[in-house]
Amino acid sequence: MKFLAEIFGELGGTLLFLKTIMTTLVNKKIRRSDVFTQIWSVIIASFPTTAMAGFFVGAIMTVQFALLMNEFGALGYLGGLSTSATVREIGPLLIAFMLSGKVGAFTSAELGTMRVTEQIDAIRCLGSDPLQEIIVPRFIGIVIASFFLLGFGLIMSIFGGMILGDIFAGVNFQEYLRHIPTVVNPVSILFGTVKCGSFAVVTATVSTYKGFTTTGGAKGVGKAVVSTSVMTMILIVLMDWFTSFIGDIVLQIARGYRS
Amino acid sequence: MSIMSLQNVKVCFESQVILKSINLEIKRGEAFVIIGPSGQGKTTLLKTLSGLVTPQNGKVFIEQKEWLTLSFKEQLPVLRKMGILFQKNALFDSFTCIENIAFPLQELGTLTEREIEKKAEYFLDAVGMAHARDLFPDEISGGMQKRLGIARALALDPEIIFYDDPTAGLDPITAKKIIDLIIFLKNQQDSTIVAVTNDMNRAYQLADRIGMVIDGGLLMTGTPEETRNHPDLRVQQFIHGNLTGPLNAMT
Repeated sequence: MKFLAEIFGELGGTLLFLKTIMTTLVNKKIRRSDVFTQIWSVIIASFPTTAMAGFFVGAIMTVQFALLMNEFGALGYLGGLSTSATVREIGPLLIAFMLSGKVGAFTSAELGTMRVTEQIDAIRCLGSDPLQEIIVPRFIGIVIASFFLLGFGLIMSIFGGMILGDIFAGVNFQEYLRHIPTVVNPVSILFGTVKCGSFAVVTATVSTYKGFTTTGGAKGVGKAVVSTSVMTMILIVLMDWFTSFIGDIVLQIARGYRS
Repeated sequence: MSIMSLQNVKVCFESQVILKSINLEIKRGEAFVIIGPSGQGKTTLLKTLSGLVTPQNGKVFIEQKEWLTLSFKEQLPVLRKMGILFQKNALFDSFTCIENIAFPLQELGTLTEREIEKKAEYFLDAVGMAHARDLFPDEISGGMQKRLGIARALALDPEIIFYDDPTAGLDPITAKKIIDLIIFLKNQQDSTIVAVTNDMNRAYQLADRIGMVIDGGLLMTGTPEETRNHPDLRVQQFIHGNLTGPLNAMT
């Protein structure tokens, strides 16, 4: 019972914190330079890992699909199918896990250290709002950077798929790319983008909340980082299910299968 | 006339009671020094007076305003009249020394870049750290970090300054220099000071009035002379640093 109360307490606290971030974002002036600094630092921090992971995810998807499609004699659609799966599902999920593991953990550790060394109290005492100064720029930075990383990761996954498609299944680059526009439609891209955005909001909210509410010195910072990683992973998977579920309903309504 | 006051203030962290039913008034322009054994609630009392800690019970008045009923926007003009030196300095470690002092000035939003730089340089010079202008906090000594913390606390020309253990971890000579600097700046600016210290020599040197915190309560307040002659055995044991006495059972 206590465990459940703790989980709901954490979820409630995170949602209230998101509301506070949104209120600050709407009502207070956020310095553009702070936001650009955050976007840049997130992109720089995650760029190499996203590139590498994107490349290999594209390659793995291609190999997996090639094994199946070879049996049906439909290797021509290899590029389209593996890219579609990456755009709709694997890409956003991969970027989100990258962000939570790297940027989320870093953000909560950084903010947690600022909290336990009283730097956040100092900001308030010096007449500034810590939410406006350090939380909101980081929140916006993580969300916006995730879209850039998604785009970049997808390009790398197509590149990885092309190379492995050629080596493993004998599908040349031209053939691989030819069916991408027919299979990957705007709905797939929209789905991927919405998922990516919602995962980024989860990561940004949890990591800033956990960092901002850290207590108890170095041990507290460690706890905040672990808790950020666990909570973001769980919430991202739940959010993935939720967005897929809602997306499916919206799509059925749009196509007239459901009223 | 009081600049800050606490009325029946009770502060708890989770289930632990840190301060119980504190009543205290700080007069404008006075130097009030909080003393007491470690872990008895001195820093919490200082943070409650500065509005950083929210009590579970009671009222906090700062500049005649009931602090807990104000929004952050309403607190802002008062916050800008305050300066705090934290126990562990709380310097921004990603900023250089000059940037640490410039931060509150930038937040004011009324000064030009040149004015901010000039003012930050003035305060850096006032604490004898002009040579460390572009160094980061972790590149300077503990004493210099304290002085930088003082310079940052003074950057907005505050009317109320809080010093949380300004001489902690410093050698006696540096500690004396820091206290002399605080007294010099107080006389120059005629500000109100609330300080926490365990060092009785520094407390006598700095204080107009001393308050002793024991077990979350304010045991006594009085002038340095009254403190020296206080009849309570706990006060006498603490100020003389005796190894035996009634405090041993508590701490």
